[in-house]
Amino acid sequence: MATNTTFSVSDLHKSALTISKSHSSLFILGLLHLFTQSMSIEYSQASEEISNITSDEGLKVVDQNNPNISTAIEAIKNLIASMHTGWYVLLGFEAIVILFFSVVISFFAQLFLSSSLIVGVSRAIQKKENELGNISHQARKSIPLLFWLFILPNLIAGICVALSIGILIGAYVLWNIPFVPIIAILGTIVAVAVGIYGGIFLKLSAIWAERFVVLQQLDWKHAMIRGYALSKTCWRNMIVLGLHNAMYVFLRVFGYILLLLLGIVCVVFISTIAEQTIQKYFILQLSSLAIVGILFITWVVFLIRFLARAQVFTSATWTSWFHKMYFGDNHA
Amino acid sequence: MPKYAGFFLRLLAHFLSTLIEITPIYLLVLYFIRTDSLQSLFASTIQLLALFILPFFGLLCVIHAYLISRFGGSIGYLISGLRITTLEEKPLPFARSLWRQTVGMMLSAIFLGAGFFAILWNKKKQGWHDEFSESLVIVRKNNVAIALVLLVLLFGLHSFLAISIYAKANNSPAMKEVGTYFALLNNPTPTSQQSELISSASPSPSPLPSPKLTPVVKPKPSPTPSPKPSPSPAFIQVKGENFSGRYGDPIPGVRITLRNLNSGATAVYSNSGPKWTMSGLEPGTYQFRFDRVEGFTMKHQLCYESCGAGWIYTWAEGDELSAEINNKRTVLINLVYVKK
Repeated sequence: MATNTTFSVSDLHKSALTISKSHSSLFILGLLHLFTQSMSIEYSQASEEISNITSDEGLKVVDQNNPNISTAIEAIKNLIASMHTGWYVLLGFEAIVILFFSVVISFFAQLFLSSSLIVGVSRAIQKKENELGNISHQARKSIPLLFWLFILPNLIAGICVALSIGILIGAYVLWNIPFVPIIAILGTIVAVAVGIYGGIFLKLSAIWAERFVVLQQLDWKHAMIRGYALSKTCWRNMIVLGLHNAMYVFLRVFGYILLLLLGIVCVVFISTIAEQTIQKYFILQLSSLAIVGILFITWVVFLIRFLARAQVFTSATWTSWFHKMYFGDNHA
Repeated sequence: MPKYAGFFLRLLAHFLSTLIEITPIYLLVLYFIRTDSLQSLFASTIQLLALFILPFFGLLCVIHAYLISRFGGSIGYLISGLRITTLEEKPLPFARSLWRQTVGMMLSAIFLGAGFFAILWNKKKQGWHDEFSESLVIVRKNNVAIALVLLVLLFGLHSFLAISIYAKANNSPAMKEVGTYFALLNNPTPTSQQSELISSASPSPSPLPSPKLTPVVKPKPSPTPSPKPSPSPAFIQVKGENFSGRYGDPIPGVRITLRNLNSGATAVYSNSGPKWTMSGLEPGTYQFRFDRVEGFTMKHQLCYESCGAGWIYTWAEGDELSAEINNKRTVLINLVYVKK
């Protein structure tokens, strides 16, 4: 199929903004996408915190606070030692299995949501009925294909990197090839350049490959090949669009943060000049607290609403461009 | 046109399912968990978790998916007369049921359960999990009355079971031991009340009988007997147990040499069994020396009054131990022989 890679950031942004604002089902998907992403971040932070608490340093801090903690820890250690190790192995195994399946479920949820956003935007561009049920029907079908697309190219890239490092080390250490600094420096420069090129094009190709898989039901290999071919022809524009998207989201979030800071300054200012009046009447204290609370909750709601729309917006810019390239202007 | 099941009917069915499913867990907690000591409470809890609770909750999604694909719903749904079907009102295939119960439910719950509340305003009364799996919940039979009666009965049963569990746990030796530890943690120097609490906590039970030892050192009479009753007891009892490693195999026949560092008096005890008791000792600082056993290194634990399941005061390695036993009624010593 012939592709038309003509590109206008303002057109794509206009189309993406319209789509992200006018479809409630896409807003729900964006919201869920946002939360599943933040869930994985929280999970990694929580594991770090747990490892900090269980580390010796964490225990030492507790020890300093209460001298009897060490005796209690000793008692707990004795209690734990009284059970056969097999029970802990079984318990640990079960916990790992449950954790593994939770991670798998959340991974599949993320695949489903990415796929749903693409389908939803595509349906919106084609002015088709856009309900969660309709979207999820097509999105669910692409999940096995998307699964391999997310796993295999990254796995192959990882194996290639590991093999290259292994061969280099093997050449220098095992086969006693004399160490020549200039060769080493050149080799490193070439390896880093190839790595950067590979990394960038893997990311760029994956953007299109995802859409080839979801919208044209291609398998991961063909999707990656076509994604790579496409990204080679328009990689500059892709980087421009990516930067524009990031700037748009960053500036809006920055605006929200400024609004919050302004709110804090206002609250401090008002409470300083009207301190005596507010302290005099309990009802004033209560109502001012309530107003501040309501304003803060409103701010949080609007921020979440924006972030959810930003998810849809980002997906919509790429999908709109993809549509424009593959199906022409009549759809976009 | 089918009659779609609304939010409250589905909530009722869901409650019913949950109550039915957790009934075996309640019964297991009531009859499987042992509370005769903290150690047995801990052991039985770990065993219950590993054998029943974790596998059960881990497999719950799969069990539900099977029930939905095979019968059209989980137990509560079936009793309430509801059926989970495809949009064409056919049985939902297993893969889609599993999708609904895992990814669908997760996504419905993730934003303050908004996906479940979506049932309230959706035309076909679908939650997000229903839409993501293209399923419907329809009313096959109006069994609300039966479901409500069963729900009340189950609430009654669960209240009874909860009270029974509370009654079993309350005042059990294990909970007393837990209380002892909390008392220690809250107060570094125990008050008289806490000491009473600590001494009332039972030590870990041993299946072996305790052979009595005759003390070689006779207690010396106090040189200046005070006319008023002293708060510290005149004579002290030292109890002990010898066992090996983590499994607690008893080690009999350990010789204990005892030296009063204040008076210099020395005595030797030879016990024939794993448990020993020395009564009528004078208050003072004592040095204990324990015989080594071939092939083992020795650790000792010491605590005053009662220590509960864990021996928490001291833990040291070596065959010698100095301990001040003034103002104590009972001193407990564990000798743990660890295989080299």
